[in-house]
Amino acid sequence: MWPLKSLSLKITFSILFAVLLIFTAILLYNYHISRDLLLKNVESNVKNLAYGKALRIEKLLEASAKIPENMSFILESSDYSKEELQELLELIVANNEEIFGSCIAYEPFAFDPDSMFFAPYVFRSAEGVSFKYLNAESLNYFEWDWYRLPRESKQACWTEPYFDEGGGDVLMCTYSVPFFANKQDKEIKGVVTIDISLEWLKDYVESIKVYEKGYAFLISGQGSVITHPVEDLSTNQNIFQVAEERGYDVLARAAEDMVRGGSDFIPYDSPLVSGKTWLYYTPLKATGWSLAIILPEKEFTADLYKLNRDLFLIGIAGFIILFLIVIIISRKITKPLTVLAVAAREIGGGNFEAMLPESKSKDEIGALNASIRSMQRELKTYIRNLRETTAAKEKIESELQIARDIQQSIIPHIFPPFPENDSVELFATLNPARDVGGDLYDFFFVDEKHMCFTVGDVSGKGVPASLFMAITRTLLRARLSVNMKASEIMTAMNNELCLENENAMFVTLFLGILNVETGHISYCNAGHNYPFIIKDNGNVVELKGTHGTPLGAMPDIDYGISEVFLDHRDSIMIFTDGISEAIDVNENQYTEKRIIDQLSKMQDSNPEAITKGILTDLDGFVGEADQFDDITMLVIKWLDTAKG
Amino acid sequence: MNITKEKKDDINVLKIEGRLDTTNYSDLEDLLVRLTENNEINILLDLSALEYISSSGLRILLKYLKVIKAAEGRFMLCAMTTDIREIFEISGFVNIFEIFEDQATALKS
Repeated sequence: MWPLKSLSLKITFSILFAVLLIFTAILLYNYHISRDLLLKNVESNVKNLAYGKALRIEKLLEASAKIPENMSFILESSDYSKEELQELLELIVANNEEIFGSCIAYEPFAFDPDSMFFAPYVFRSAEGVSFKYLNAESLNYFEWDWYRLPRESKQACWTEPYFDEGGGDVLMCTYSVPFFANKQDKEIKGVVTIDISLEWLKDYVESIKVYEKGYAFLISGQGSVITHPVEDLSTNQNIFQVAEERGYDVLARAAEDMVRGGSDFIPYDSPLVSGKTWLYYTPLKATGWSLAIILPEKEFTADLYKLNRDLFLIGIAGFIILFLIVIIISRKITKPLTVLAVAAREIGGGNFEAMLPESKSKDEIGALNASIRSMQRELKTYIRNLRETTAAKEKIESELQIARDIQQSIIPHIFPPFPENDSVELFATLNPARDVGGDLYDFFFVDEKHMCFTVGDVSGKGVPASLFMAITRTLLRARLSVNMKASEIMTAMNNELCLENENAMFVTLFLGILNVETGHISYCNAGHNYPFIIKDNGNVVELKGTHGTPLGAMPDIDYGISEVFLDHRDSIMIFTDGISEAIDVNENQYTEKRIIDQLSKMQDSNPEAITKGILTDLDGFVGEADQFDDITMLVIKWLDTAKG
Repeated sequence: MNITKEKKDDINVLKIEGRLDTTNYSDLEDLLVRLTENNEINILLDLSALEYISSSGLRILLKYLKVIKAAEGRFMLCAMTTDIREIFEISGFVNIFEIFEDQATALKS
C-alpha cells in the first residue's frame, strides 16, 4: 500500500481510484457501443444513398434502352428504305438528349445483297446532328463489341465504356439490341444501338458527396472504371489492374465481389483520403455495373470523438469536484480522530487530566471518544489504587527488610567468633529463601570449656517461621544454664513450644555441647537431618540418631542424648535440608550424597572454606532454579591444643 | 501435586502424588479442613506416589493428626516410599503417626 500516513488521504485515494476505474470503464464501454451503433447507422445510410443513386442511374439507362428495344421490333416487323432508316435515326438522336448517337448495323449482305456493310449512323457533332455510313473504310463494325456481343448472345447488352475517338471524342457506352430475320430461328438480321455519353453520368456520380472528403465511383461489369473523381483512372483503367498496381488485396477481393454483383461495407484504405476509410459497393443490376462509395471514418466518427471528449472533460471536472468533496468530508471525519489521538497520547504519557474534545455525535467517533473517556477514568482509578497498593507493598517490604535485619542480628555473624580460642574454628551461614526465614543457628560458650551449638529448621517459611525461630532461639538462650544436659534443655523447650501451638508449628533442632578441651560432643537431635563429621583423613561420617520428634510437635517427650568424640582437625557440619533438598531446573535434588562427595574433597579446609565450597557447588547445581528453602550451614573444626 | 479422594467404608482414602511442599501444602490443608468440618474424621493418606515432603507438608500432617485425634477420629498413613520413610524416621514422626504397609492393612486395622 502507499505510504500514506493520513487516514483522510487514504480514504480519498481509495474512493478516487475506484471512481477512476468506473469512469474509465464507462468511457470505454460507451465508446465501443456508440462506435458500433454509429457504424451500423452509417452503413444503413450509405446503403440507402447508394441504392437511391443506383436506382436513378438505372432508370435513366433503362429509359434510353427502351428506344433501341422498340426499334428492334419495328425493324423485325417490316423493311425500311435507306432514307427511312436515316430519318428514323435522326429523329431518335434529335429528340433524346442523353443519346449521343444511334446506329442500325446489318449482317453482311442482309440489307443489300450486293453490299457487305450496311450501317447508317447518326451522331451529335459540332455542327449538330450528323449522318454517316459505317463501312470497311471507316470502321469494320463486325469486330466491335457493340456488334459482336449481342450477335453472339442473341441478347441485348451494354458494352464496356470506351472512348470514342474519331466519333464524338467522348467517353461512351453502347446499348445494342439484336433484331432477327426470323424470330423463331433466332436468325440475326442486325443490331440496333444507341450510344450514351458518360459525361453526364460522371457528373452525376461525382455529385454524390459523402461527408466532406467522401466520394463515389462506378465500375463496369468487367471491372473497368467508368467514372472516378481522379481523371486518369476514368480513362478506361481496370480496377483489377489498379488493385494489382497498388498490391492491395482488399481492393482485389472487393473488385471480384463487385463484378459478381455483390454488395458489402468494409474497411478500406483509400489513396485519396488520409486516415481510415470505409468502402460500400452495390450493383446496378441492369448493366452489371457497380457503384462504390468511399467514406472517411474520421468524418463520420467526428461526432463520436466529440461526444467522448466532452464526456472525458465532464468526467475530469467531476473527478476534481469529487476529489475536493472527499478531501473535505474525510478531513471532517478524521479531524476529531487526530484530536483524540493527541489526547490519548497525552494520557498515555501520564497526564490523566488531559482534556478530551467534546463529542455529542453518536457515530463511531463519538463511541471512541466515550471509550477513551471511560479509559481515562478507569486509568485514573487504577493508577490511584496501584499507588495505594504499591505504597502498602513498599511499607510491607520495608518492614520485612527491618525484620530481616533483626533476624540476622539475633544470630551471631561475626567470624571468627572466638579469636582468642585456639581449639575451635567455626563458620556459619544462613540464607533465607524469602526476606525472613525459619532456619536458625547459634553457638556460644556455656562456660569456659563448653560450647553450645545448634542448627534448627522451623516448618514452613516466611514471617510465621521467622517468629517461631526467634522464639526458639530466645528460649534456648534463656533456658540453658551451666551443667544442663542437651536432652534436658530440649525437653524443656519442647514443652514450652507445644503450648498454644494450634498451627502445629515445629522446629527440628540439633543441639550439641562441645568440650573444647577433649573434643567430646554430647548432642540431642530433635527430628533434624543428620550432621556430618569430616575426619582428618577425608572420610565423611553421618552422625545418625534421632532423639525424638521436632520441638513443638508433641508435648511431654523425653529426649535422649548421644555422644561422639572429635579427633584433632575433625570438623562437624550441621545443616538444614535447604541444601540437601535444593533442586535444579529439572527438579533433581542436590542430595546428601553430593554433600558427602564435596566434603570428602575438603578435609584440609577450614570451616569458612568448607561452607563456601558447598555454597559455590550448590549455586552451580541449582543454576536458574529458584531457591525455595532456607539454606543454613554451621561448620566447627576442633583442634586438639595438646597436639597443636 | 495431585490428590485423589476415595471413600472406602467410613474411611476417606487420599492418595497424594508428586511433591508436597510450601507451594502446594495449602491444597491438602483445604481438603483436610473440608473433611474435618464435615465430621469426616477417619482419614487414610496413601503416600505410595509421594515423591517429596517438606517441613510445611509435615506440619499439615501433624496439625490434622492433632485435630482428628482431638475429635476421636483416626488419621493414618500408609505405603511410604523409602525416602519418605527416612524423613519420618529422622524427624521422629514415625513414633506419633499410625503408619501401615499398605492400604489393605490400614483399612483392616
